[in-house]
Amino acid sequence: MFRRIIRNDIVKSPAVSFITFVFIAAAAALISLAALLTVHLTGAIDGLMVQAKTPHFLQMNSEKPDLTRLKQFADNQESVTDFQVLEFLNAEGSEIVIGANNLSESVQDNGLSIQSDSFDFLLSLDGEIIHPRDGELYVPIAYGRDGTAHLGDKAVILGKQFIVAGFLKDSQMNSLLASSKRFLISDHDYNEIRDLGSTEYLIEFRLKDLKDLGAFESAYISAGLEADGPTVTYPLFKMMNGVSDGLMIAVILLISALVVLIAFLCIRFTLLEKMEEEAREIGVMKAIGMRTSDLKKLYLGKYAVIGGAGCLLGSAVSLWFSGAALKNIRQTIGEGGNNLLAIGLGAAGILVIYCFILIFVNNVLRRIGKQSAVYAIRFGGAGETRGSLGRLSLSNQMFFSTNVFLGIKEVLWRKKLYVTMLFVIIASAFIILVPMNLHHTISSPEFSTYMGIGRSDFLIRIQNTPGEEEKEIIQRLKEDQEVAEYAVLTTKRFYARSASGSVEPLKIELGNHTTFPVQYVKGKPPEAEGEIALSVLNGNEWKKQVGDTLVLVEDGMEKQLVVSGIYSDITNGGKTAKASFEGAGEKSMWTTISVKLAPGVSISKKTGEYGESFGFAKISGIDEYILQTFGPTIRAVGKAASIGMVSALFMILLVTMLMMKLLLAKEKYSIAVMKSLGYTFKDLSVQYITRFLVILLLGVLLGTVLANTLGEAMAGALIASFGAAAFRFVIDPVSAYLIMPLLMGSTVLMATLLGTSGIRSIQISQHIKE
Amino acid sequence: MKKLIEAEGIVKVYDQGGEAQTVLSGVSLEIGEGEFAAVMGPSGSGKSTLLYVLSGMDPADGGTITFDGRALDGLSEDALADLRRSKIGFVFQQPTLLKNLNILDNILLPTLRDHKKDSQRLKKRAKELMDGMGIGELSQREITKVSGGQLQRAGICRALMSQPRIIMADEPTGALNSKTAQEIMDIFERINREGTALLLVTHDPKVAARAGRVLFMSDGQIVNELRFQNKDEMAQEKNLLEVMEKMKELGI
Repeated sequence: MFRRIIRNDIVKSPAVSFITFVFIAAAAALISLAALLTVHLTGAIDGLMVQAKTPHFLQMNSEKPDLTRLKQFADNQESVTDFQVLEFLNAEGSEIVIGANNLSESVQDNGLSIQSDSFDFLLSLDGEIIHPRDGELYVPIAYGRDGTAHLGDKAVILGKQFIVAGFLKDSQMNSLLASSKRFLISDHDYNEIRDLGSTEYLIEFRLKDLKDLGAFESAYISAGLEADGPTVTYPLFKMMNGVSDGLMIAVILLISALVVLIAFLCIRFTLLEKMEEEAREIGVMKAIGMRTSDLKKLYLGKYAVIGGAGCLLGSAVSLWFSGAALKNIRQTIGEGGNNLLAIGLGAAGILVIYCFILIFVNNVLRRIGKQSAVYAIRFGGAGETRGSLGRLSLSNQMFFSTNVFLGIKEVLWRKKLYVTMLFVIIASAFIILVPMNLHHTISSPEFSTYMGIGRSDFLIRIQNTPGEEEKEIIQRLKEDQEVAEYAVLTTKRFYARSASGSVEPLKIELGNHTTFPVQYVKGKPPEAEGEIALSVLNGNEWKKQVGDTLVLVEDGMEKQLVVSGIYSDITNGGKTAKASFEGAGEKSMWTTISVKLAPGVSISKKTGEYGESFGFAKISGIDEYILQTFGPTIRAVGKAASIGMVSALFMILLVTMLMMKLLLAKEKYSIAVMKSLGYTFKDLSVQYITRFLVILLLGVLLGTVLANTLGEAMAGALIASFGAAAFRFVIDPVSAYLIMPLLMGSTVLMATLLGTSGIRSIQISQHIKE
Repeated sequence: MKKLIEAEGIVKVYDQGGEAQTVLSGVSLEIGEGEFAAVMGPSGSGKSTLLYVLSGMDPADGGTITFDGRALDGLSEDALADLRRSKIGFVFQQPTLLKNLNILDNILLPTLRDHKKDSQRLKKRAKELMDGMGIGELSQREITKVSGGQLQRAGICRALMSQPRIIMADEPTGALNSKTAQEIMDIFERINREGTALLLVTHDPKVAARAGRVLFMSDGQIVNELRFQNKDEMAQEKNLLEVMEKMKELGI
């Protein structure tokens, strides 16, 4: 009996049942997909890092380190299990030709390596340790994925010929966010060309236990060992490997949370409407002595069936999709993660959704118990409380046409009913706007300032500057009529007193920091002699706020500096400092010159010109730099933005149609009455369109406010995980405030018009006749 | 008497679960301006359908209807809606008022659509009509908070707002007690005296006896007709007897 009633109910309102089913299926699929991806991603990263034996502590150094001293240090540290120094032979991009491409435009530091003996292995795509034969070249997977290199390509590096024999996974430098890339060749080939480029050294340690990392780091620093390049530790490698896929999972989770919300709202809405519609029947059944629990079972049964079917389809879809979604992880990181655990976790997620649906439906159904049987039988309604009619009288308003007014009044009168729709619009506006604004922000020119790079046209970088070369470039810039302005920033190593009183090294970028300022979280750039600004990460590490004093130690003399500002930076591991005093005595580590060109001057032409004249310097256009470092991230966010927009619009379409369907079913009587009084199809359509446009307007407004506050904070938190702080959206007003509302408006309009066609078929006589 | 409605051979067929059911099979009638006619007949004889078809709410499947000299067939839905709004007042058995409007707004609903600028004048007219029917103090009330008789009076006010040429009423007293039914009929008679034609479907011979003419329907056809010349109180009893006799004769 129950089964028949449930089946009839679903068959009788196929559209409504189907839409509810679709939302539940989508929610289940997304949740399960997120679970699958999370398990596989973390598993794959762990797998890669275990197979490759990633170093726990890495110190880059540009000069040949003192091996005996390092060996001694390693032997004395109980926590160290393994120690090695690897070479990295820097090759200019223009010196690397693969097939028809060369890497001169690459902003990565590309170089050659040989396979390690003990740890930090470079792995094949199958996870095997690669042992290249002479003449073979293994290329970082990133260059395989972007189409720069193909299997079997001829390659020429530093004048020597190779054949691309395969691609490699590098547990340290796989991510494009890591600024170096290692190519692998045989020991014999390496020895042949090792004198043709400059060599960098990777000083690497493996520890017994990752817990000892902090203590080891301090020991390394206080031992005063080689440290003129960046220091990277195991957790950071792990984070870099996970960031881009992690971002995708975060977006999926965000969307699935919203879809779950919408699915619940739809259920609540359809259920309330159904109960309202059937209030008379419910009343009669109660009057003849049916128990509330019997009635509840009828409704609950229907949602148990629809929900169960939706969850089943959702899990099937997620399994089907997981192949494509995992492809990226498999290619760049590898297999990993317990498949059973992944499927189990996904199933658990779906089960949780299913239980929530039933609990939720049961909760909504509590109203059945509260409904008065007498009221329901007499008036055919559930007797819900509604807004008072008094204030909004048709006869007292002169402003709107009667149809528009009736539409507005309906929304205000039955707020509860339209809240569902409002939430959907708010959620959709949010889903559209946040990725859209994020995409626009990270692809805007201003974004470089969040990365710690002032807004100029291109950068000239010189390593270990011997003064003459730097002067040569500055002279040229001074004379160049096409250069509008430039700023020379030299990074030198100083020593400063830490919070605990010990003296520790601190790299400070000296020069004028006001010409091309970066984004300051607090305070301002250092201008006076006695001022210093710290990056967010350094501010935390040195425990300094704006206004605090930092003490530099130079030749036993102490120099007091006041912290003038804290800025956002992701360059050089995010740990930098800026000051404007002259540190004449110290040896400079590297120099960066930011150049802004006069209006109309071609950046690429100019960088080409300077590149030719100053072969020793690395020259890169800012846009190119951002594109290459952040390109895949920008594209991923762009894709997320388009997917978000399409799915949000689709959701609006479905929900509006659902609303229309339910409203028409509910309001057949009112429509028949209006028609009998001489209201035309057009009049009634205008009333319905007005209702939805009122909700749309309110929803878009609230959604925009929410996206620009909560959404900005969420996106900011995401960006902050890269080390960039003080995040503000750069909003494109045309797409955010014009195109987006128009698109949403047209979708609502389309769905409403599709829905209003049902008005025509409502026969007056059928719905009024006694 | 000038003719207001002329119907010739109207046919109406309903689809009843895939089976065609003829509800009106060739009904012809004329209603004059200011005339008061009642339609009687057993349940299912097609009385209400006749009203819906004559008012343009339901299209006829055959025959011709002319309203005030204008043929209804071939008119668009919108044109029919315009006709209903401006020239016909309709009163249903259950007062079809909308829950989301108060009594006054319900009454104003059909006329405000076209005469928004006139709302002050319309409000005044609505108040006068309401006062005339004894519901003047209810204008701001919600419809769930007044009695059935009061709602029916409001429904009649609404039908009168556009000063229609005819009021069609489908068993307007069917859901009311006899005292209230009497009062409502008094109102209808007054309206008729003021020049508005009345076409009224009823089961109640007492109601029919107050009309000038009674049409009897059976199986979708008009099978008989009574006309009363004299409608004063003395004559009404005689008219009632005549109606009851005819009902007996026709087996109604």
